[in-house]
Amino acid sequence: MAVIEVSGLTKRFGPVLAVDDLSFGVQGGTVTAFLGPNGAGKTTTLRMLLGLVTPAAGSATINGRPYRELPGRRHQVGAVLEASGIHPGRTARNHLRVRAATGRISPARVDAVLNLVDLTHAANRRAGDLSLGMRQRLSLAAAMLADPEVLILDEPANGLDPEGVRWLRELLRGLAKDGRTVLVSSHLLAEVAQTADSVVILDRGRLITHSSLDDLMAGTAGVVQVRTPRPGQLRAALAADGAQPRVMAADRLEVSGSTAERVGTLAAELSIPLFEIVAQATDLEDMFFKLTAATAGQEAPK
Amino acid sequence: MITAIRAELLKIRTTRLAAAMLALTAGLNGLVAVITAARAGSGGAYTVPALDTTPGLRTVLTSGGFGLILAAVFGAIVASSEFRHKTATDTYLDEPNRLRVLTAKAAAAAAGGLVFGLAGTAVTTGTGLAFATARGYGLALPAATIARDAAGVIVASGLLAAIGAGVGSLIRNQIGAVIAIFVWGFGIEQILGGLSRPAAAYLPYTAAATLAGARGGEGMPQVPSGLSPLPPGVVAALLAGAGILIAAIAAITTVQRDIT
Repeated sequence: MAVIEVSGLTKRFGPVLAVDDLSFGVQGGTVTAFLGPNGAGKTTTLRMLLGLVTPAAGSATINGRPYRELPGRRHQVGAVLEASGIHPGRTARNHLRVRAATGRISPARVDAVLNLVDLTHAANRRAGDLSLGMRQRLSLAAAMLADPEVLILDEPANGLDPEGVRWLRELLRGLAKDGRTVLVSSHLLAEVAQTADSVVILDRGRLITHSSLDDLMAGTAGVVQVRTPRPGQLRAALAADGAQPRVMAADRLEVSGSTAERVGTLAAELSIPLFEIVAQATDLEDMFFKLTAATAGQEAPK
Repeated sequence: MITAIRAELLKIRTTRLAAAMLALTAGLNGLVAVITAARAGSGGAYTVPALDTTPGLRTVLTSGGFGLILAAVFGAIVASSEFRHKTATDTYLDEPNRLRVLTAKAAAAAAGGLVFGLAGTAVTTGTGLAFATARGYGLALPAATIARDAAGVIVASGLLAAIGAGVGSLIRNQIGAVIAIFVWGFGIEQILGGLSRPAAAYLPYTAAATLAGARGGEGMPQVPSGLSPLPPGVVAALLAGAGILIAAIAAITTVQRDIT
């Protein structure tokens, strides 16, 4: 059974249909990337999932119940939502003490989570004096206070520098290894692609795709670039092998529907010399843009 | 509920707002009390009778009107701060029962208000009695009256802070909520009180001032002269009722709104 279940979720803000009949499930023990351009409806969906925004239709449950009805909810679910603030006058440690108190969590965990996000040195600094990245980490620490099994993170990489993004990736990887269920939203696929097991892509409030990362990668299988003095002969052989080769220049072929290994083996069997063979990296980002731009009825960004 | 109130009290204790406003309350009350007491009986403009008269001493002892309005402002800031600093999201994630959060906030603000009242009345009563003693006057008011008025300041301050918290939850915009309290206390109530004496006694800020011992034409705020104050129990019930009414309006409107 899915740990997070979203079914027919719909929300309208005035004339804007923010979320349109959205359904997907998140399996336990997986990291699911919740992707879409800014304004796609990700934050609204997560806020409905967490009982902060009332849906016009549909339902969203965690462990089989709406968030508001979860017993000991903070022990089951930790969340960091975009644009949620920290009182600037409160120290990092006091912020966590307050979150422990409001969430009915033992304050004994405060120092442990400060250590987890590497903020022990800044424990007594006021939140207003912390960098954006440090505040993001403090928010993550608050979400981890009760050591929850399910984590819902809305754009956690926003405001992080490259080092911070790497730190976040490692944290997500660690959480996944612990068997936790993580739903993490982002408008940048690259931020989460390395850690996600599956991907839910949303655009203009509608589900574009929900698949495992492997399936998405297969769908965007890359091409093999080959440089050979006998392109015509290689092209015929590859076509007979079921691949789709295209002659790009006098000595260049671009092959899709095959692999570098297969192209190389075939060339060796026919004694066709190869000067260069490159398997072009799968471009997930490009796929993401194409998927979302298709619904927007516009050209994919180059 | 106790857990929720404790959490709200921790929020108050972990910022500098409460300490700063407490200092402001004590400072303003002290300033008004010292100036009023020093000039009492001098016969100049805007002076009160000498401290060996009942009106003179009473005016100094009840010069804590600023403290009362600041208690309401404190409550409004405590409640609206959740929206100003965008901490409402996390608060409602931790406790989705919004009515419980609102009630806990009002209770915590009331507790803070009691402390404000205690500090305010300690300053004004201390100042009044110190000046009277220094001038060799006897007590122009019975000790029981002084004690009852001091208790009135404390109770009124706590209840006004709870009302302020309701206003802050309802209006959400911090500056808007604070302005609304000043406009109500120093503007609307003064106008309404001027229009109808009997009705004035039922207006929250004026009623709170009478609970704190202010009488017609004396004290701060200026309670309309000729006003007959309601019995203390009725005033306390009136203020509590006003607090519950505002909280109820907030609960069925603002509080049910989406937290975005």
